[in-house]
Amino acid sequence: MEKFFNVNIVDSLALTLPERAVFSRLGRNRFLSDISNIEESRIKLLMNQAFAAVHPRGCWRLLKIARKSNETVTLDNGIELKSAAFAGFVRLADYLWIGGVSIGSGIAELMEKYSDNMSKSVIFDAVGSECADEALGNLQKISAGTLMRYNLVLDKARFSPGYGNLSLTVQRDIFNLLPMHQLGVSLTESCIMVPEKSVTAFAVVNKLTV
Amino acid sequence: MMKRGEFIIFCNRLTVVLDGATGTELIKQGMPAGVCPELWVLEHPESITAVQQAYAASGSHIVYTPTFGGNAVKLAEFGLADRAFEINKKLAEISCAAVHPLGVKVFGDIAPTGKFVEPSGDWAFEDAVNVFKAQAEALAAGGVDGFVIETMMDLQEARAALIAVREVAPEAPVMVTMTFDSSQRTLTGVTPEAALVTLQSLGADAFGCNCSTGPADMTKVIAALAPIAEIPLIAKPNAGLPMLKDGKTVFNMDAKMFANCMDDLFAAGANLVGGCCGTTPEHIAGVTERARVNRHRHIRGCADGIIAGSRKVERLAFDKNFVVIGERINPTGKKALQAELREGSTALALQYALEQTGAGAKILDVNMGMPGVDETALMEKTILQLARAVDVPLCIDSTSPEVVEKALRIYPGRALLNSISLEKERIEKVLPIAAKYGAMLILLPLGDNGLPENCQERIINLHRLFLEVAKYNYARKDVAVDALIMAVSAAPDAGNAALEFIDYCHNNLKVNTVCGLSNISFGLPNRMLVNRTFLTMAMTRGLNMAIANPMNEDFMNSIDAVEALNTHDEKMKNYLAKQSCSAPTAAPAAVADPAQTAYNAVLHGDAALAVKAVKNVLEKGDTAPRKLLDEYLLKAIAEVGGKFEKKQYFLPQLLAGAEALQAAIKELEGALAGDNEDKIKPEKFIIATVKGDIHDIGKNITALMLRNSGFEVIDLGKDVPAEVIVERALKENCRIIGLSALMTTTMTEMSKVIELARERNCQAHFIAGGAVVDEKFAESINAAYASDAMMCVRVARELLQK
Repeated sequence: MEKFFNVNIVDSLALTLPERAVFSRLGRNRFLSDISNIEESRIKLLMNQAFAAVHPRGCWRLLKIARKSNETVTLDNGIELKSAAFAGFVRLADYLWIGGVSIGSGIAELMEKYSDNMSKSVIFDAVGSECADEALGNLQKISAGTLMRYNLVLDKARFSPGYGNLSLTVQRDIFNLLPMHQLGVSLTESCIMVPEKSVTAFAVVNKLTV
Repeated sequence: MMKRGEFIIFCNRLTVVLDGATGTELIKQGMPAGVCPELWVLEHPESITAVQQAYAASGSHIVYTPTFGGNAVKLAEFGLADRAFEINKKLAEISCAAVHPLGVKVFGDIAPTGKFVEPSGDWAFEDAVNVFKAQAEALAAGGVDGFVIETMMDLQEARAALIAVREVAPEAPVMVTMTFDSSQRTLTGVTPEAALVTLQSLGADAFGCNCSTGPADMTKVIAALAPIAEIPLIAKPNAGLPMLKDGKTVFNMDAKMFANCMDDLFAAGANLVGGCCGTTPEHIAGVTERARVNRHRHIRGCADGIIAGSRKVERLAFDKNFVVIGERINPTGKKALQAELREGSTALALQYALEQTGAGAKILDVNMGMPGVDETALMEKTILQLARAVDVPLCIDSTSPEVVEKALRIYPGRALLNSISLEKERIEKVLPIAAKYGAMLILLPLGDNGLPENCQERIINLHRLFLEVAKYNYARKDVAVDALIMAVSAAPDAGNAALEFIDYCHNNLKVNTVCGLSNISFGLPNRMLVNRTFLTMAMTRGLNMAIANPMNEDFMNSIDAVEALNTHDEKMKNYLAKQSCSAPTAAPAAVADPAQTAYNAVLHGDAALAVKAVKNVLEKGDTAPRKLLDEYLLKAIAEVGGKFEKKQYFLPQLLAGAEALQAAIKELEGALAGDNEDKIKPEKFIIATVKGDIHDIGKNITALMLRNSGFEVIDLGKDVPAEVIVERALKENCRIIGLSALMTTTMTEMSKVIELARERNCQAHFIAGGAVVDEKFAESINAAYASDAMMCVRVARELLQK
């Protein structure tokens, strides 16, 4: 089990185009939308053009928790994660799972190339965002399957910096915990990941009693 | 080793009980955390002997070898890849020694590598096959009775493993189980039905699911599979779901609760049952008890032929719904496609695929045959590309056995093969390949002597073909007979001969019939009219599939009408839904009035058509430029906006409309310059993403909509310091500024911009927007709030009227 406290890199992460989620992100209403077959095919084609530029990679590890209070979670390496909502989220956790994915810079390059065409850019952007989210979900499912073999249960819920008062500056700690740079991701001064379509999140891990 | 036939008899005779969790039981036997389980068991053989004998005592008929992580990729994580053969062989031997004396069978366990095979990932398919072959060879050498490929998350990896085992041990029984989550999909979005159809046609002897869910969710999967399964079904659920009890995480089903759920699984159709995570020998003892009192499902199979795409299935029934096989992915006669394919690009093939499925094709014919290209490589590339992009099954269309083999081997579904005839090469080379990969067949009643002249010759050839394909266990439901349509311009009676043959196949043989429709009209004017008319005639005689171009709306409407009239379309639901629908099925073509065309072009977001229409208006000169702008173009964009507000249009449509308008106005600018009407100077609007933030898609959309609404937008870009924004606003004497931020760490920069503006005596209105900004925050920094681009336009107008 100790190996899970080291970093695991998944170089080729399985992903299918989350078509429905992309349409939904773009505001398509299944019942009200008025769209021709040709127009729908055109949008799907652009989605696939964007999807071809998606190369998801991910990394994850487990973290040991040293202390928990109502406001702060302290990891065994001294990192403090301050947020009441986050502390509540991990209240019953035995360990924390931290995962990060990036879909690469392909989408950003496409958007740059078509920067004067907003109707294309917005589709590329939506594909990138949904693929990053889906890829993180898949990384979590793959981790869950692996951990279950060792009687560790990884919860489905995720918690990301920037939400629930967990400051986005926590990304700096995450970048110390995960080799995001190996996935080609860097962090700006204002804690924004570049390429933009990169995601990190925590999840709860519990020991299974057998 | 068992034979496949023996396994089927074994499964028919009784409800087969499998084992439960192994890892948990090994921990109870003292396996420490963090070790390589396979190596630890090898060093402590008594542990697995105890676990397997406990399962045998609980009633298991089959136990799995402890080789879940025994493939070379997994063993490499522990530096043991070079010992893969030795480890697998010895673990198989230990397992056989443990339970063979008790009359229990041992199946060699093969599980995921953790890598993803193309097209889901980028691991080469043949590399995956080789890894699994090596493990299967070792397990076979260790004396296993059969194989189980389990806990597969990706259908293509399961296919690689199954092909590997089949090539190592063609006569051995192989069970395959995949994991489906509570939405009944694999990690890569494959339905249980698509996985079953693909794997049973590829030679799996039993199929089902294990892990991820408890018995209740698994019962739903088994119930969905039972009506189409031609092989026994397996269920190996977890002991419910993990839950917290007295401060400890445990599975929520004890042995009794678990056993009580088995009745539902048996009723749904499970033939082989065991347990996965959290189950113990006690759980399996409960399963055994329920298995003794429940009758297992009798395997009937499905009356229809079923093929599978990468994620879903298509039923082909001779007397049910008509299926169009899209014909366009074929370079013959298509110069643009030929040029693209020669360049190695499959973009146009993908476009044709999406357009055809959008127009109603249920299967896509893929033909890559043309001179001067590597057809095998091109076919492989296209198939992988299409498998990622479209769900529908593919029809592999090639005359080359090598191309057919490569295509069927790599395709992550069950394909239709076009075609098998009595020609020597097709029978001797292509048919065995098709059978190996389980493809459904199009039978072409063509003899070695060329085209049959009449219906009788076709019938004779067809019966000879039936005898040939029966040698490979093909049932009639697994073929579709090609009616061999020939041009009526060359042979006037060709249509009648084909109709007579279709009638015979449908009524006497009750098989699927298909035709390459466009052949009928070759050499004639108005070919589509002839095609459509002949199709209607053929459908009334029983034709249920056609290889055709679905992009013609009249053609597809004719099919819908026939289906409604012949009652295949129950209560005419499909016909009424399509023909009563207000949504256009195709984008608007140009109409006679170019001003109206310009209107339509903006409404449907077609920038090229909009520019062309404006040019036509200006050339014709019967509509004044100002009138074109005010009464057509601006009215069209207002309708686009209205449709967006009513959610009839969504974002790409709104933006396409806006871009079409911009293109049209640009074309019109010169003409408008000479317009004598008074012009109102546009209001300036400065827009920027604040310092530290690099997200600008929302800001760009807003800028576009503002421009279309008459504002002169000064877009300062992203990551813009407060000083730059304020200085520019003062310089331009701008009355309104829009600020965008997407992150909590950057939204605070907005207040700095506003504070600086006030310090410098800039009195401009501010509008704040972006994912993390809400009305309350905007109010707190003395800015107005806009949740989206359209709202920003509205708010800007309101603020300027103050």
